[in-house]
Parts: sequence; C-alpha cells; structure tokens
Amino acid sequence: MNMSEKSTVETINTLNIENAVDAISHIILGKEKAIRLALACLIAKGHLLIEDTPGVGKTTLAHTLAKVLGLHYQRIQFTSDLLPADILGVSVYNRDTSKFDFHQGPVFTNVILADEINRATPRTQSALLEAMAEYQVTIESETRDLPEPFFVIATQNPTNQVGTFPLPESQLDRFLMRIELGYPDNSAERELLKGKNRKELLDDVQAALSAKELIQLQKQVSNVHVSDAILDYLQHLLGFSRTSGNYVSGLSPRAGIAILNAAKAWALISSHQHVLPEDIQAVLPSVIGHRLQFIYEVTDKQALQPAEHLIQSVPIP
Amino acid sequence: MSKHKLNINKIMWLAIGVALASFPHWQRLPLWIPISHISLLAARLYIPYQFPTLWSQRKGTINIIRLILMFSGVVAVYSSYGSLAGRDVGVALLVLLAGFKIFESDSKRDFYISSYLGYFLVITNFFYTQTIPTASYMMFIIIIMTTGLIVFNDTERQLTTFKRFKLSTTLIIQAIPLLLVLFILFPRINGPLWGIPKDAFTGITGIDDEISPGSISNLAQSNSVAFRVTFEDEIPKKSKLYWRGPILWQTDGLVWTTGEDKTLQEVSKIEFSGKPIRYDVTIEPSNKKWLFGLEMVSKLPDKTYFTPDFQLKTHKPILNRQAFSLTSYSNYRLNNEKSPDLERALVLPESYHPKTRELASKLRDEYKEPALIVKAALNWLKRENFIYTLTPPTPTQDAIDEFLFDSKQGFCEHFATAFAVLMRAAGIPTRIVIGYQGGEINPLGNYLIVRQYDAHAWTEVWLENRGWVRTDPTSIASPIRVNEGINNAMPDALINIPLGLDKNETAYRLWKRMRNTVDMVNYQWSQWVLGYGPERQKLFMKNIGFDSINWKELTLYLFICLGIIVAAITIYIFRKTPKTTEPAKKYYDIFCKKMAKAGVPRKSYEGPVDYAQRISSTRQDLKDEAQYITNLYILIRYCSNNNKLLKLKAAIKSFTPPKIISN
Amino acid sequence: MSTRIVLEKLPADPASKFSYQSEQIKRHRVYIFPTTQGWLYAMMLVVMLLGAINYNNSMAYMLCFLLTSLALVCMLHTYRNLCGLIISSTKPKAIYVGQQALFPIQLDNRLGLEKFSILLEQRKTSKKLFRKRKEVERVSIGIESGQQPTCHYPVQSQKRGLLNCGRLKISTDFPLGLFISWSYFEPEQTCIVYPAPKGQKQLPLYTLNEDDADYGTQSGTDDFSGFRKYKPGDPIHSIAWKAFAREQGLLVKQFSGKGSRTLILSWESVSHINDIESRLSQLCYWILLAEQTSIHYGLEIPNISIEPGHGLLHKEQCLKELARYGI
Repeated sequence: MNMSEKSTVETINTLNIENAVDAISHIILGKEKAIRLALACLIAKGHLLIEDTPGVGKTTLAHTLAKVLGLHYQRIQFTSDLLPADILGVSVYNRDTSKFDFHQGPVFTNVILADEINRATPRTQSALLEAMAEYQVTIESETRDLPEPFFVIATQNPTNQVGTFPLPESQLDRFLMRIELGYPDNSAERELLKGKNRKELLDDVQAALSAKELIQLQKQVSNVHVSDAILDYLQHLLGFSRTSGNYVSGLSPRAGIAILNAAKAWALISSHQHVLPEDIQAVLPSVIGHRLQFIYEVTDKQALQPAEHLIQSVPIP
Repeated sequence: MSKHKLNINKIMWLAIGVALASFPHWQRLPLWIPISHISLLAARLYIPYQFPTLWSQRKGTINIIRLILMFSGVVAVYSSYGSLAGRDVGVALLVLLAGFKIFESDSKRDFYISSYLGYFLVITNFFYTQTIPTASYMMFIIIIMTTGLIVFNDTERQLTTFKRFKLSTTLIIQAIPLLLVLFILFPRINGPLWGIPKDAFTGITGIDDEISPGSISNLAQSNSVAFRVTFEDEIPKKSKLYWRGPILWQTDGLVWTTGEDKTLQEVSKIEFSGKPIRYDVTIEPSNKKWLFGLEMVSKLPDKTYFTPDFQLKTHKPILNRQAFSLTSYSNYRLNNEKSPDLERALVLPESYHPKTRELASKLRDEYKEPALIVKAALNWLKRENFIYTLTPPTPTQDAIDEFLFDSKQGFCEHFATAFAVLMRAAGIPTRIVIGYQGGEINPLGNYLIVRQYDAHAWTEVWLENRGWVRTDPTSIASPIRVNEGINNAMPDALINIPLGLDKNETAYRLWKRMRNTVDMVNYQWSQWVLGYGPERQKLFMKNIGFDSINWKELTLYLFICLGIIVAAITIYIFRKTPKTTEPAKKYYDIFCKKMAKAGVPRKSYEGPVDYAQRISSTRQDLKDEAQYITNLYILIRYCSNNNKLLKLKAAIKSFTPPKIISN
Repeated sequence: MSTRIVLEKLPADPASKFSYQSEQIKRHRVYIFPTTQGWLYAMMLVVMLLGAINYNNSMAYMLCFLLTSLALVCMLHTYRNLCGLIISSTKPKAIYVGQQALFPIQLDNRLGLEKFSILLEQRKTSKKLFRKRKEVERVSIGIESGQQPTCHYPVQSQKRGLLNCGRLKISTDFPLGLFISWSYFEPEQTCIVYPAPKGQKQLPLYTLNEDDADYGTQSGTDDFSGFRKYKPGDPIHSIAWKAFAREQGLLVKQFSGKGSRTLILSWESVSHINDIESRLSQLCYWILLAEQTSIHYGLEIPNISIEPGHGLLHKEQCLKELARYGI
C-alpha cells in the first residue's frame, strides 16, 4: 500500500546523495569511489579513517564531507603534545560561583575532524576512541552524552612514516572503514593545477543533506534487504579469513557486522534496496583493510592486499 | 577406540533386529529358549546404562557366571532335543548364542559378530518356510540390521534416525539388481553337499505308497498344493486328468501296499495313439521318490525311470520344488500280453470278505466273460446308490464287506479297495492306482493346481487283448467327483470357505477370484523363485536363447552382468551432485556454463553485475540478454522475489550464445 | 598457496570451481580394501552359500546373494564417501617446544555430497615408529555438502625448529564398515617450533645506545614520540645517527617522556648460560615479556640482527629467528 510512498522517499534521498557526491567531487577531483565509500561509511553510522601520505587531500575530503552533510563540525589537529583534556573538555574553578564549571571540549559536536590522529600519544588517542565507541565521554567520573549524529573522521599518515604512533589493532577496529585516497590521475591532476585553490572552493560548498535527512538515511540502511545467499557469502568470507592460515588472525564477528552494515549502506548509495555480492566486494577492502593482516611468510609472496586476496579466494555461492 | 563404545542406540538397533529375526522361531522352540534370549537382550539394554560401574567391573566373576550360564544353556538344549545335531537344535543353539553374544557385546568386533549371527538367524527361518510373507518380513529385518551397522558407523551423528533407515533401504534397493543377476546366473548345482538333518522335512503331507481306509480322506482335509501343471496346449477335460502315482498290488485285507519285496517280472509294453499332450509339472517337495504324470506318460524326463507297472519314479527323494517336462497320451494300451505277474494281481488273503466273495462268484457265474463281469459289477455299484462321503461310519469287523453291503458310504479309497477285492475274487487281475484326479484350473495363470484334496484311488483291471484298463469305481458311484472335481462332489464344508460366503453368489465369486490371484502369485513365486534350481536355470537360459550352457559360460555371463550393473550403479552414485537448495543458482550456473563456452567464463568470485558488465563490454551482441538474465537472477537470488523463477528458467533455456572465434 | 589435492575426481571445469586458476591441483588415488569385519562378512557369506546349496533352499540363496550385493553396493558407497574431497593444508600456528602443533587441514567438499565419518590419522611410516607411539592421533570429522571445514591434526612437538606433520592417511569405512577406502597426503607446510620460554623472569638491563644515555632529561614528560626532520639549531645529541647511517637523512629524535625504552636482546645478555637451547629459551621468554610490557626490543644473535621494534609481526619474526637458530 505504501510502496509508492516509500519509493518516492527513497528517490529523494538517493538524489540528495548524488548531490552530495557531486559537491564533494567538485573539490576532490577524480576520487568518486573514495567519496562514495566515505559517504557509505557515515550513512552506516561508522567512523571513518582516511589514511594516506600527506598532501593528497585527506583533510580537504574530511572538511568537505562535514560541510556537505550540513553538520556542525570541529577540527582537532592531533599533535604529540595534545592532551586528553584538550579533546574532551575540562572543569575550571569558577571563583564567582565557587564551583567547577565544565568547559566542553571540541568532542561535543556532530563531526570531529581528527587530523593526523597518529601523531598524538596513545593516551590522547584512546580518549577519543573511547568516545567513538561509547558515544559518551566520562570526565571526572561524570558521564556526558555526545550529540547525535556523532562521527569521527580521522586522518592519519601511513604508519611506516616516522614520528607516528600507530593505532593499536583494537583501536583501529573502532573505525568502520579505512580509505586511501592515492594520487589523482592525470586529468584530475591537471584540473587541480589549473583550478582555484581548494580552500577557497571549500568555503562555497553548500550542505547537500540536512541532519534530518541523514538520520532518515541511516534508518533506511537497516531496511536494505539481505538475502540468505549474501549471508552465505559473507560467512564464507569470514570463515576463509579464519581458517586459511594466511592471516595473522581471522575476522571477528564485529568485523562481519561491519562488512554487512557497510555493504547495506553501499547498496543504498548505489540506489538498490538489496545487497549484492558486488556491494560486499566494494566495501570489503575499506572495511577490513585495517583489520586483516597477512602472516609474515605470506607478506613477501603476495602481491595482493589481504582484502583483495580474500575476495579472490572465496567463490560467490 | 572410544568412538566405537557401544551406546544404547547402537545396541538397540542390533537387539531389535536380532529379536525380530528370532521371533518366528519362538513357537517352534521350547519356551525357555525365547525367554532367555529376550531377557539377555533386555539385560544388555538395561544393565550397562543403569549400573555402569557394575558393568565395567564385570570382567571377573560375572564372566565366569556367563560362561557357566552358556554351558548350561547348551546342556539344556541337549536335554530338550536329545541331540546337538539337526535343524531344530541348530536353531535353538543359534537363538541362544545370539542372546549371549549381544549380552556380552562391548567392542566393535562383538557388535559385528552379533550382527552376523542376526543374519544367520534370518537364513534359518527359510529352512522352515519360504513364503512371500516370510520373505518380505526377512527383508524388513535385513534393513533393520543394516541400519544398525550404519548407526554404528555414523560416528559423527550426521544422520537422523529416519535418514539412517532411509540410507539402509537405499543400499538394499541398489543391491537388488545385483541380487537378481546373481540369483539367475549363479551356476546352480544340485544339493545336498552333505547330509540333510532328518528333521528337515517333517510335516509334509502327501500321498503314501499304501492305503488303508481313511488314509486318503485324511488328505482331503488338506488344501495344500501337491503340484502345478502348465499345459502347452489346451487343458484336457477334468475327467481325463488321472495323475498316476504308486501302484498297489498286495493286500492283507485292510492295508494295500506296493509289495515291492516281490519284484515284478512283467516287461513294460505300451502302445500309444492319438494326440500327445505336452505339459510341465512343478512338484512340491514330498520327500518321496515318485512323480505324478498324466496317464499315460510316453517319454521320460531326465533323472527319472519307469517301474514295470508304469510308475514314474525319481532316483532321489524330491526335497525341493522341481519342474519336469512330460508328454502323455490319453489313448494307450498297457501290457496286453499275459505274464506271471497277473497271478499276483489275483491274490487275496484267505478267509476275509466272505460276503464280497459270495457276490463275486455270483457275478462270475452269471457273466463268465471278464469284461462283462466288470461292467456288471460297476452297474451293481451304480444301482445300489452308494454315497460318496468323507466321513463314513467306522467299520467294526470287515471293512470291505461292511462298506459294500451295510453302510454303502465311503470315500474313493473305499470304492477302490472294495472294487479291487471284488474283481480279484471274481478272478480278474486287478491292482489299485493312487494318485490325484482332476485339479483346479487357475484362469489367471492358465494352469492347473492339484491340491492334496484331489488325492484319489482307482483300479486297473487286466482284460485279455486290452491289457490293464483303468476302472474308476468312484466315477460310477459319484460321477460328479470325476467330472467336476471334488469341490463340487463334496458338501462345501469340506473346503475352507469363509462362513457365509457361499450364500452370496457375487461374494463367493469374488472370494474365489481372490484365492485364484493369490495362488497364481504363489505359483509364479514357487515356479520361478523357490523352484529355481539347475533345471529351471537351464530352461530359463534356453528361453532367452542360450542352448546347453555350461557353468563356465554361466560364470562368465554372471561376471559380465555384474560388471555392467556395478558400473551403472557407480555412474548413478557418482553423478549425483549436491542438491542446490536455490534453483535460481542452478539456472544461473547453466547460464555461466553457456557463457564460458561462448568465450567469457565467469570468475568464481565475480558478482553477477560485474559479470554482466564484462559480458556487455566484450560481447556487445549478448549485452541485452545477459543484462536481462542477470536482472532476473538478482531479483530472485538477492531480493528473494521467487515468482520470477519460471521467467529466468525460460530465458536461460532459450539463451544460446554464438561462439566467436577469436583471431 | 599450497597445492590442493583432489581425491580421485577432477572437476569437469576446474576453473569454475577453484578460485585460483594458477593454483596447483593434484589428483590423488583412493584405495579400497575390505576391513577385518569385511573379511568376516565374506566368511559368513561362504557359509551361507554352502548352506543354501546343501539345502537347495532358494530363499537362502536369495539372502546370501542379497548380502553379497549389499557388500558390493556398500563398497561403492564407501569409495564415494571419500572421492571428490579437496584437501589443502595451511600454515599451522607456531608453537613452543612441548606444545601440540595443530596442523590445519582444510577438507573442501564443494564437489560432492555429504561426507560421513572421515578419519584422519598419521600414517605409520615404520613399524618401529608405530611401536613407539602407542596411540596414533585420530581425528574424525563429517562434512556437509558444500562445506569447507578445517580440522586440526595434533602432533606433539619434541624439539625446536621445524616440525613436519608427516604423511597423513585419510580414510572412511562408512556406511557399513565392511570396506575401508583411504588415501594419503602430506601437508607441505611445516610448523615452526619456538624454543620453550624459560629462564629468568627479569628482563636484562636496558642496553641504551651511547647517545641515548641522557634522553631522560630531555624535553617533555611523556614517551618517545617519533622523529622529525632536522632543523638547524637542533641539539646534535638528539640526531638519530642510526637513521642517518641508513641514509634516511638527518632526523631528530623527539621525546616527550623520560626516554624511550629500547632493549637489545643479544647473545651477550645470555652469555652466562652454557647450553644453547637454554639460551634460546631465555631469549624467547624475554621477547614475550618485552612484547607484553610494550618495550621496543631488538634481537642480536650470531648472524642475525633484528632492529628494535614492536608488535605481533615483530615478535613473530624474532621468535622465528630463535627457532631457526643453528638449523
């Protein structure tokens, strides 16, 4: 009875998604897949980690994303001397009231841009990561809820760069996706060189989605149909990662849920109401890239990334 | 070896199988054997699981007690039967042993030995009865016991009880073609290889080689089959169906015997005329050395011979169902020359049957000519209104005289013996022939069934120039017996007709029809299954075009056929592929196969959309079709929209991508 | 990737069934023979046949032939129960001496119907060996159609180094136990056996490089934070000379704490132990301890030198060098 109604809602939203993609693509050139993945990640209510060498547009992407989504955002530049209190906030003694007033830190916002997260010390990192996992922060034994929606878009330099504190495996797990941007291709690069300063362009970006629409989209993700065949496929993937012996440790059940959620969001972005094997394959490298590691022997021999290797090893049932 | 610990489930199947296999024996065994058998099984099912510690410690004293029990069991069997050899004793010991073996079963080896004992128990049943119901019942038991073996080997408990049973049944069904080939082609030899216990053939009813008043009327109570006959042409008239058996020469006044102690000197001479009648007789085991042939048999089948008085005999007792091909002529002349044997056909014990002798001399005086005397005697019988009955009054002194002159009631043996005495007293050589007369035509199989109640006795008188002439006094007194069979000559009470059925015409006919069907099935069963021996095997091979086949060729063919069937089963088993629960996937696989042939194989990890795109880019001509099929497939498989399945099936069926030869 | 072994049956279209077309697929023969129970069964059949001939009893013949046919059919089923299984072995997890190595063996049943009660056991290479090990490990497994379970075959490790699984016999006697069909295969992968972690529970004194000595008094109150490019004016003692030696340019070590703890576990630090195995055990223990307490550590044993580092892969690499030492 409300089939038509539902479908109109859907078209509006996907249209908006397309608008958002367009808007971001205008700034980040030639990286549509990465942009879509980033959007899918946010729609699936996941935190996003952007990892690449400096200067490929990580921060710009993060900025653009936040702006396009029309959300309130805060940028935190992580440095080695950043303290947890700098993120969460601090209580300051107020002489007038003779009380401790709580000064909210930048974490109390919709979107946090955690720039170069691996430059901060593990202690500071974990303060943020706790907030990401719990959607609340505990300061001086008082628990405070974070606003909704709440995202962390973190950027980090490759771990093998000097001067970094690599995020431990357990903390990496908090991020739904880790995407890489890579260098732009020839034509994109040329356009980049010819065009205006990105920072200026960024100021002109208009929100393509409202917060309300975003929440609605997030709700729709759970309505995306997942057939048994897809679940079979997913289970085979998880099973292979655990039993093949090629990986340091298999994918956790949480990773499985993450893959499924991301695939659902991806399906929604690709404007179909059901998950296809391709959806899973599309999100898999981003979702498990930071969760799956070849064991020492395989690393040398394999030309493929662990996620690609996994995809190619498991036939679609 | 802990995985082979016998849990209650495994033992249960075994115990049930063995108990069922021994069940038909219970009525034949002394009561204490089945009771101890069952209690041993029950104890095995109960004790180890209720008192595990007791069971595990049983090694010492309990073992000794078990041995003592077993030994006393054997002693008890010996005291019951007075012997430890023979069929019945063997069965008793086997039932007892199976109980003990299951009771002590604790290892893989025990389990298998118990199962094999169970199989032996099944085979022993066939030494008592081989009917279709028994065979079916035993088949069921085999399936149960095979299930037991499967339960034992299904160590990972992958199958449900029902599936285990199903697998067992499947194995048996797959075994049946092999079974048939083995049964038909396995070279048969005539047993026995060694002695058969004497008790193996007790309880078989049939015609003996002597008669006394009442011996044939006893047979008339039995409707078990004596033999069956298939005629090559038409079945002759009932009144002509005299199945010749033993010939009795000698009497002591009450009992007639063949008198084999005095050998006959008569030389068999026989002349035949008229049309030959060809037929096959399938005789039931009788444990006797003679056959029954239609009067008069002209050609001897293998392994048989004629006695001088033309009785068809075999060298060995007939211990199993056998078939013989015979040819007879209904017109014959038998030994029309005088011989010393005729003297024996006149002997009567002194001082018996005074009244009969009186009548004989009267007749002889009146008619003189033997042929006329015979005729007059028969006429006399007819005139005197003799009653044909199964239950004549018991004779007090002289059976013949009392029958002829007082009671005038009797069965065929009374007529035959009395007539023979009368003739001999009148100086005409006479002998008695016993055999069967008539038979029931089974319209369904177009064959004749001769049952025990068709047993009959008649006489042969010797007349000059005519030789031995069949004279049936019963046919004179009760013509209906010979012309229409005993069923009509006797009151219905004789034959076991269910109560009340005779009152309703249609019901009676229906019942009769059913009985005929059952008998036909039984007949075919006994003809082709139970009676399948060396002769039948030869006949069968001849029928399918292998004349005079020897056992070497037979073995060769056996192995060829076995090989073919094993190959067929192998192909059947190995071609079975796992059932795809998703039909859409099955069709899509076909599509992928077709595309692979067309030059664009799908990678195993390639999703349908990607694949369709690749097809579209490499094969422009297939773009639309591939897209259509892929869309349908996605709808069914990933949107769970199953009502498009037929469309997908049709689309994939009609999809025939042309192959492009790449340069 | 390791070789896959297909028992007897090759799929008609290997490419469609296997992910890697380049992957090696080998066909192994499956053997079949009656078991002890099978021979006993045959004896029973002979007795039955003699009985049937002697009594000329058709139904006895029938039963005897039915049981014969059943055995033949059972033979086919037993054979099928093993055919088409794809076996591949993967790298077993490294273990410490004295532990049981678990060789993961993947039994892939995507070609066939459900497989029942498959038994894995080490093949007796010689009678002597068999006598020594009274209990040969047996692993029994059932595999549903289309499933690819991995079972782990346990092998007890005796000494440090590489442990071979040896030849394995894969067999089944399902459904009736009258026949056994089997095949052999040898897991190619070896298990690395680390030395058993034993010895002193205390880490040796940190061996700091000569220019690390005064870090503690350097800037910050926290940990080692990393490197940055040298800028003119930076103190000379904070230049990472090692990195310079590796031609990474001039880098400056940044510290935000009392100084990072870098531990070099060297042969000298265990020189007080005479026995080589015990030395390795001690080093192994220390590596584990250092990993646990988040200390950057390196390894220096004869012919091998591993830069200080941290993390799973680093630990693995260090332990592996210990395992391989002298072998």
